Amino acid sequence: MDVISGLIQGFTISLSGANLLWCLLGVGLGTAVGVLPGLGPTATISLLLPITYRLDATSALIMLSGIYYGAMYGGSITSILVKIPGEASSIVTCIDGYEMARRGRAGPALGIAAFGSFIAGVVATLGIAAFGPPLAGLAIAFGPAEYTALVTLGLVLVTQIGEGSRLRAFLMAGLGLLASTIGLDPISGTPRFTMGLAELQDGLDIAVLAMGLFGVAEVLALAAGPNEAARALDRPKGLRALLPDAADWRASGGPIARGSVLGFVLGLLPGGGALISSFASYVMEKRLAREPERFGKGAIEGVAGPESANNAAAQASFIPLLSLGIPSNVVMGVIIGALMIQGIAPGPMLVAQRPDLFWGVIASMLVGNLLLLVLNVPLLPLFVALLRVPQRILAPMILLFCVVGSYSLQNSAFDVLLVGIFGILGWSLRLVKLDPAPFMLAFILGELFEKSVRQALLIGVGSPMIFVQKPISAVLLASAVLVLLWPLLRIGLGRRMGAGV
Amino acid sequence: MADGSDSADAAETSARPTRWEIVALALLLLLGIVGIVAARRHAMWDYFEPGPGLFPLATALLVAGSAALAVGVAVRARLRASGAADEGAMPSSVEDRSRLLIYAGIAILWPLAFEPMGFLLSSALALLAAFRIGERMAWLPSLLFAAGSVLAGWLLFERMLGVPLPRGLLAGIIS
Repeated sequence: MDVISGLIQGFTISLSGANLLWCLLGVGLGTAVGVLPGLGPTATISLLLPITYRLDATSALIMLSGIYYGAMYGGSITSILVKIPGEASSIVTCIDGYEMARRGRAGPALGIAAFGSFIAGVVATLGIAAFGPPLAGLAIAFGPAEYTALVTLGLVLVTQIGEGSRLRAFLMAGLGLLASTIGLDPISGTPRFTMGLAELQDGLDIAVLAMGLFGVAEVLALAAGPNEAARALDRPKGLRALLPDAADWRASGGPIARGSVLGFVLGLLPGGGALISSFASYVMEKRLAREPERFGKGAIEGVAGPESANNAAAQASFIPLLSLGIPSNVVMGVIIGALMIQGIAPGPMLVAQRPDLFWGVIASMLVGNLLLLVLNVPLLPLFVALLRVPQRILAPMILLFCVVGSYSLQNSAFDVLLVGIFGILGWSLRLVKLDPAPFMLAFILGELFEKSVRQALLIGVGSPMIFVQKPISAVLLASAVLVLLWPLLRIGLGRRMGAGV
Repeated sequence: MADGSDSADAAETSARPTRWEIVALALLLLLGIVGIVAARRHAMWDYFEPGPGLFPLATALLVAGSAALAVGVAVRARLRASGAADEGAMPSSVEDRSRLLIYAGIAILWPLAFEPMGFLLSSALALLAAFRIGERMAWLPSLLFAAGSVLAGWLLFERMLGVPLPRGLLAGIIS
């Protein structure tokens, strides 16, 4: 079956009344859970698994995938409005998205996130349809050495995100990696840095850290500042005034296109694809910008690129799932569970044996992205109106959401206490010009990094040469070194060109 | 919006590191050293494979090394700019210390009271403290906002999303 006839069959399935409703339910729920701190797509999909028993496999997968990519967009809403990343991949959006909101440009930030996500979703869906099964082999080519190199590149990129000193960014990334080792050792089960507390044996939760370091820290920053009745924002004249204007589109076109392609490629890789793609896109746009100093101060490119990348990656992660049966992240693992309950084993034969399922889900992603746009763009005035809520009411509300959201993760008051502690820590770090973003991103990559390093060293019989002997790994490590040394190389090149003139 | 972050932005432009920055970096250096000591208690190499202590040791070394460098750079920059006026005891971005302390206290005490008192009582008290003492609102709006927020939070998370929020002291009253 060729791509065109496959897509036609897919649209026939996904646009049927019931499937359209399941898709709408999925993206609606996904947006809601993306907005709510704590309750992520993994928990929601797990909670909704029993509902899918009664559905046919295609409808079940259409709804579950809608929740996943809906959550990717939903996560950006709170990142932009109140600096609480709903999802890990939205952490980067906090940087410029929130700054845009502070400068009265929440509408264009939310709008470009919605349109960018939609365009990236369309690009990724067409990419899956055209190149999906052949590209799935890329996931197999990645072993522990390649993952170590990829995460190393990711960690180097993390240190390039902030505005401050690179040395301090390295320090914060190192601290994030150290924090990721808290809990039971993933291989031997030995407790590390748990201070004898049973609650720390599972390690620190990403959502707890994000709510503390970003959400509660922002409340403390608001509390430390002057008390103001409400944000002095001009009341927009209709929806059009909230949408990105021509200049915004000119600035965002390139970042959306590059972010979509980057997200699609990195999304194929199991592991931290969506997360790495978001900050890889941010660093790329910052490097390509004529005025990189605008980044961190409300540059729309810093929202458009990462948001497109994370949405494209979220959708591309379905390729290893459907074509190889390899879950690229925890959410995909739960979705595999849902398929297996239906008696379907995802793998290389799925496209041939169940074309209705494969193409139905692929086409539903296009439909779902359109539904996301239709659902969210009219709601922009409502989202932006949230910023008119006086700070004296907004700050306690954020605190309430963080407290209940963190408790809902594991029904543990210890998590709530950690949110408070990390909130105070996050605010203190800001005061002394230490950016919590590299800490957070390195923390998320830490577990994959440690596992990959140890597995690779095991395969290499203890020799670190394994990292440079494998071609993909060597190229990725060379890229990391290049990114790291780029400022020095640029100075050197500048001097040589200056001398040549 | 002129919040605390604006002042932080202004502080960002200052090249001279504050005493607080140097103290914070020194604390992180200490944390890195503690990490190295703690990591060395675990095996580095176990049965011909990397042990549980290897990665923590490597990351603690990275923290200690970069913190030591950062302390050095900050001290040097501070000595070079020694002519500039010194900052106060607290960083300049803190404009309302009492409100900040109220919120910091709430962030720590609320979780401690969350299970013993239950969600409804602990949240109502915490929000009342935030509105009345932190935000200096009048009693009636403080009570109304606290009660309304707690009720909305309870309906959303407990009733709609099925999160079993702790009942605490109200266990016998709420079904």
